[in-house]
Amino acid sequence: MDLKKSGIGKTIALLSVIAVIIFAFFAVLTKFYTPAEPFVDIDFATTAPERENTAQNPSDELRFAVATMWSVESTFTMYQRLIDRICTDVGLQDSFVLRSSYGSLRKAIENGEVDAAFVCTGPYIYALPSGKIKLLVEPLFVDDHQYHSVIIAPSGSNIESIKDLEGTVLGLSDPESFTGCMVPYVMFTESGYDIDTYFEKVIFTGSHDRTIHAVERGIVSAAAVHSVVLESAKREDPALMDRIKVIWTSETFGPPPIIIAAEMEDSLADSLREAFINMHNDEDGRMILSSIGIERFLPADEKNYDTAIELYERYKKLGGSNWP
Amino acid sequence: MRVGLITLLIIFLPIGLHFIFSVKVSAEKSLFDRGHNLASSIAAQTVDKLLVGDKLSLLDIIENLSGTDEDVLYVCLTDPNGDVIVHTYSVTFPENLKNVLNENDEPMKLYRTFQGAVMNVSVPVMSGQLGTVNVGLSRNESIAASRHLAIILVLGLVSGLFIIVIGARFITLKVSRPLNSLEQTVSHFSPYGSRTDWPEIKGTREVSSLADGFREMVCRLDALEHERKITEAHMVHTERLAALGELAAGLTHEIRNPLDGMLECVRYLESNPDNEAFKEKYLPMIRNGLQRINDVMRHMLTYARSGSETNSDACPTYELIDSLELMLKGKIEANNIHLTKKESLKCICYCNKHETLQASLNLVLNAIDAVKENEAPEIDVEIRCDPNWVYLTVEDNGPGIYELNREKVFEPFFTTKPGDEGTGLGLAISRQLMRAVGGDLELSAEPKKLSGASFIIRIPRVLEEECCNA
Repeated sequence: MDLKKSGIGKTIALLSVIAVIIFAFFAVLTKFYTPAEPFVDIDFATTAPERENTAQNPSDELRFAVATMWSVESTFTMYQRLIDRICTDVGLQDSFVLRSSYGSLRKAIENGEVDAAFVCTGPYIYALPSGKIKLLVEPLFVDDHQYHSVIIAPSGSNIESIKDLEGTVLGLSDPESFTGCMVPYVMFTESGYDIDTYFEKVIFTGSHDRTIHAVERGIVSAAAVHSVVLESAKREDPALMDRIKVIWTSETFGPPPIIIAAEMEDSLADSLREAFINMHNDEDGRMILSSIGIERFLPADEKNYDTAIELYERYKKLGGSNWP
Repeated sequence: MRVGLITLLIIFLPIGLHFIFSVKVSAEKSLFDRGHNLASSIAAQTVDKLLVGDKLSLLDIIENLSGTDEDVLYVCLTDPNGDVIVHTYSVTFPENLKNVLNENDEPMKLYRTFQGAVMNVSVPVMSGQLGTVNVGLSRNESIAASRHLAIILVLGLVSGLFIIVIGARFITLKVSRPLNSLEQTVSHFSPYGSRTDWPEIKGTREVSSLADGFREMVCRLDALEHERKITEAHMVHTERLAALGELAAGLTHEIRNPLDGMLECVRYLESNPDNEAFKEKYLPMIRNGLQRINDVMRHMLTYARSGSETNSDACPTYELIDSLELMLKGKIEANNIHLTKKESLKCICYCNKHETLQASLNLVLNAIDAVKENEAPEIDVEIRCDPNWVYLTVEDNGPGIYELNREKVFEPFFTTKPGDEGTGLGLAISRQLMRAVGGDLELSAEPKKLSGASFIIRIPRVLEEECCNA
């Protein structure tokens, strides 16, 4: 019996030692294989420096804005290289300024938050009376595309003209867009259609590419879009015209220009002008220009915008500036 | 058992450790995936707002989405320079944390705070051109789960070891030890041992039953061994009597011849009762004849009654030769056999005299049977020695042993004698008797002199000094 007791006792002692070894083994190895992690003493009393106010304009920076003819993200992607190239040519740091609407961009221009901008014809016309902007250059689009306002509808719909649009949902891009709002407003109004009652609803999509998508997806029955944006979309997706159709096209207007702040130094303005106009002279420049559908830039001619200015006057008379 | 335990530890410890670390890595990956999905969603929704600098909308987005996961400690957006644009801390963004986030571009950073372990997941916005979304998640729960699992695993391993050791101990007590004890007892089994000292072996029911079975088998073996010995002794005695039977004819001759001579002497004395010269001549002859008969009868009786003594002792070889000659003389003369005996050296052998005499007698009787039909029957008995052995050779000029029978002659019940003349046990018993004293009985490959068979008895030699000292 004693032998049995001593045997069991030895067994228990052995097992206890094994258990301790196992625990120690796991503890040591767990500790060993746990990588050292930094300890961060979170001190809420320490303040992280605030972001600098970008409204101030460092002297070596060119604040270049682009109107959101495309969506904000697409605009950034498409025009980043152009801005980088121009700023490099003039020897300044680029600061890409974007705003979510034509109106907010116009205000930024008027407030002096922007040095140069690639705007739609609408914001140019809107800002022109303030005297705070000047024309710099204007684009010549590839394939000699002209700047129109076009109304599109789904290709499978029974909408063939503006007369078929009664009671439908109309899509527009931006309240200050020339081709995406002013031109169709004047056209409908002068054609005798009260834009507030003729349509079931008017939806502002924010940009011309979103307007095209809204037509494709049937969110709107028809929409007014920038013709160059439409051509660009067709180049990217040749099958687009299988899904949409153009039911109306406006007269030709002056293209969206590059404008600069009126108080910009002439030397800088001249440098910018020269940079734009000469960009197409090298391979890199041509690639940048072709990616945004531009063949080259030409010196701006104010006369090219007379028709647009004239339509704007009609727009105001028809109450468009107070709409929507 | 030790080897088993060590093997178990070597196998299961790495497996357990790998399992624990796999769980830990899996938990971390799961947490990272949650953080990455949240950060990616925020990054996708904040592009436009970042581009237009709409901080309020950015704040709304990160605050709304950070509430979708209870492990989220904070969300912050940094610009490409690492400066914080918006964050979800209720007060200012911790500078120490900003330094940690800007250390490198790793998508996952691990660090610890007073509140526990934290994982920061970073997702760039538009490939980092607009900045980075950082989501901080608490790792306390995943670490606690890993620790819990580790404890369970270790406890399970230890419990398993306990069970294995206890089980092994139980098996040892109930099976291995009783089997070892049984094995040792069986290995030390001796036919001459006492059965009362067979150890009591207790174990499982099967082991106890096995031990009982062994005990019964040993008892049966004992009984069989006892019967075998009795049978063997009976066979030896029978063979001895058979030999005596063969000697009976010679015995008659050995008694009749002296009696004839003594009767003739008595006749002479009766016819000349007063002749002193006749008395001096014939009385000794009568005495010698009676002495001779007495010797023969004494030898025969001694031989017939032998078998009860089993002790071996030193025995001079001449005693063997003389006894052989005395017992066989009648039979040899009756068959006109020429017997030659030779003793090259007088030596002493260690044997049971009567059993050795029986074996020798058997050989000579077989030789006599073999040469009976010869025209000039001859038997040669020779004793020679070397330092270790005494060799008694019986050789005849009979037909010899057929090659096919050479291996069989020592087999029990094998005989070449016709009918029921032989039992077939003589050579088998003779060999057994010689081997019992450490010697042997062999059939020589070739006869040395005569053309028949040659058998050799080999028995241990005792040197004279040893014999005397003993």
